[in-house]
Formats: sequence, structure tokens, C-alpha cells
Amino acid sequence: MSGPDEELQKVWQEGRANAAEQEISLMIRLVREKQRSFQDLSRAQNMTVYVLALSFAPLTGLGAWKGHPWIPFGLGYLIMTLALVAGAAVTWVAHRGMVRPIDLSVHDYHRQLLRWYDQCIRLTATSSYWFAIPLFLGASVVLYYPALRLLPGPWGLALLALLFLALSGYCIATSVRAVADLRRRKSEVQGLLEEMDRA
Amino acid sequence: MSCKFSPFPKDYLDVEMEAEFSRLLAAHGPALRRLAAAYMQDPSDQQDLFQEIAVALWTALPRFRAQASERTWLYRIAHNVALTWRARRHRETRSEEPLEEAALASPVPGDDHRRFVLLESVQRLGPVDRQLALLYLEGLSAREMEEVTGLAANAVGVRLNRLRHKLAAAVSGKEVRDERA
Repeated sequence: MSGPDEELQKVWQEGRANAAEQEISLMIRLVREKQRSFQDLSRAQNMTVYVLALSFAPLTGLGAWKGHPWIPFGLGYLIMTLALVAGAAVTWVAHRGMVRPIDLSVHDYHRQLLRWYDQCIRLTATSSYWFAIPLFLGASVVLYYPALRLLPGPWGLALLALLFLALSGYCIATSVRAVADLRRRKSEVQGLLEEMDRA
Repeated sequence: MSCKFSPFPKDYLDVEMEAEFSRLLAAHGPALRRLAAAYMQDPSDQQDLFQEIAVALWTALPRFRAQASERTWLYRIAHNVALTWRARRHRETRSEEPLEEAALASPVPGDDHRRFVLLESVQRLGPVDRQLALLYLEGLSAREMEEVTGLAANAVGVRLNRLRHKLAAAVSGKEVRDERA
């Protein structure tokens, strides 16, 4: 290293002394706490889907079995069961693919991040179609007889269609917002990679 | 730089991991704090970023392989976390004020003026140049810089040469054009 290099490095590195022992032990406690709370949060989000699936899938499955003589009941419950099982399975598979090694080089890490964003975008963009819409469709079909009892004639059917469209529309709008956010993040990573590739 | 510890077995004890983590922080903590200061202007953001880096190091520690250099391994993690974290903070504060427009480092009473000027110059660099400048200022070799960034050797050489002049000029008080990306 030449003189000017050493001079610059000396200027940069001077000032702060070595980390105090007290600071390190405090940092270990903090890191343990942060890591635990992150894992808890991540686990809690997945658990919501698993609990939802485990609690309701047996019930809807039973509903499909018992209600099969009445076609709307049996069919509606069956669609709901399949949607719940698909939701839990996809969450499990997606979570397994979420473990990303962070100790790659900056370039490789961001390339991997880009692929991960692509996966997330695909999953989020299609989640309405394989989870939310079938679930609401199943619920609407199950509610066919009660709705007809409440509002006879076409009004009952219109009410169900309206409910289904409102819930599905809400889910689609939510996933569109989430996809837009993911695309923004992806473009930031892409920008950095393009700059690195230009270098 | 050779590594002083061997790969961790699956049943790696918490106590041993804590000891290794303490050693890493004692050896590289000040450098990681300087890195956090170069990425984030606000002192509380710097502290948060430092903690994020520490969490990432703790998480990655069991996967560390002795074949890799400890220093390049550590800087790879630190820069990956810092870039992601800075982008996230940028998104969060975008509605309040653009991060790039936020005040850069403010002089602390008693702080070395030259160090302050150097920090400000590094903060103003684009992401790729900032990575290289930080690695250079911490004394990593060009080979180590390649390992950390994943950039090609000639790209590191060309950029580094320009950066050296730029930073030296800034510290010596000469006017330097702002080439922020």
C-alpha cells in the first residue's frame, strides 16, 4: 500500500476505539432478541395459514362428505377444502424456498434476490386465483340455499354473486398492490445489478 | 487472511457461538460501525443498520466455512444487509423526505475535520463506488474486493484508481465533482 493510501486509511480508521466488552454482551442479547422476534413473526404469519387450513379443511371436508346429496353443499365444501389445502401446501413450499444465503458476493446475492422477487411476484399475482377466489366461490355455492330462503328468486342469486364479486375484487386489488410493491423492490435490485454489470 | 476457526458441527454449542460472535464483533465492530455510518446519515439509522448486520452475522455464523476468508465473508454479509436495508429505509421515508436530499453527516464537536470530509465524500458516492471505497478504506486488497463485490478484476482496478484520487482530493480540500449515481 502506498503512502497516500495509508494516509487515507488512517484518517478513515482513526477515532473509534475497539468495541467495549459491555457493548458486545449487550449486542449479543439484542441480536438474540431480534432474531427470536423475527422468527416468531415469520412463524406466526405461516401459522395463520396452517391453522386456518387445519381447522377448516376437516370441517369443510366433512361438509362435502355429508352434504354431497345436495349438490351445491357438497360441491361448495369440496371447492373450499381444496382451496384451503392448496393454500397450506403452497405456503409450506414457498417458505422452504425462502431461505437465502446472505454470505454470497454482493453481485451474486442480488442476482439471487432478483430470482426470489420473481418467484414472489408470480406467487402473489396468482394467489387470488388458486386460493381466495376458489374459497369465496365455494362459500358462495354453500350459501346458495340459505340465500334463496332469505331472498327468493333471482335476488338471492344476485346477493350471492355480489358478495362473491366484492370479496374476490378486494383480494385481487390487494394482490395487485402487493405485486406493485414487489416490482418496485425488484427494479431497485435490477438497477444496482445493471450498474455493477456496467462497471 | 486465514480463518482462525473451523466449520461448525450441527450441534455447535451456543456458548462457543457466542464466543466466536464476540470475537468477530471485537475485531470488526468498529469497521462495521464505519460502514453503517457510510450507508446511513441518521445516527439512529446507523445504530439500527449495525444491529441488522449483527443479526445477519449471527444467523450466518453456523454456515461459515473455514476455507473462506473471515474478513471477506463478513464484508459480503455487511454490504448485502446494508444495501437491502438502505433501500427499505428509502422506501419508508420517501413520503417524508428523499434520503438523498437528507442532510449528510453533520460534524460532531471534536471530530476530526478530515475524517468528516472523507465520510461525507463516501456517503455521496453511488452504491457500487461506495462499496469499493469502504473496502479500500478498510484496507482490503483488490482480490478481496473482487470476492466481496463479485465485480471483475479490471472493473475493480479502474474504479478504485478513480476513487483513490477523488477521496484524496476531498480530504486535501480540493474541489471534486459530485458523481453520485
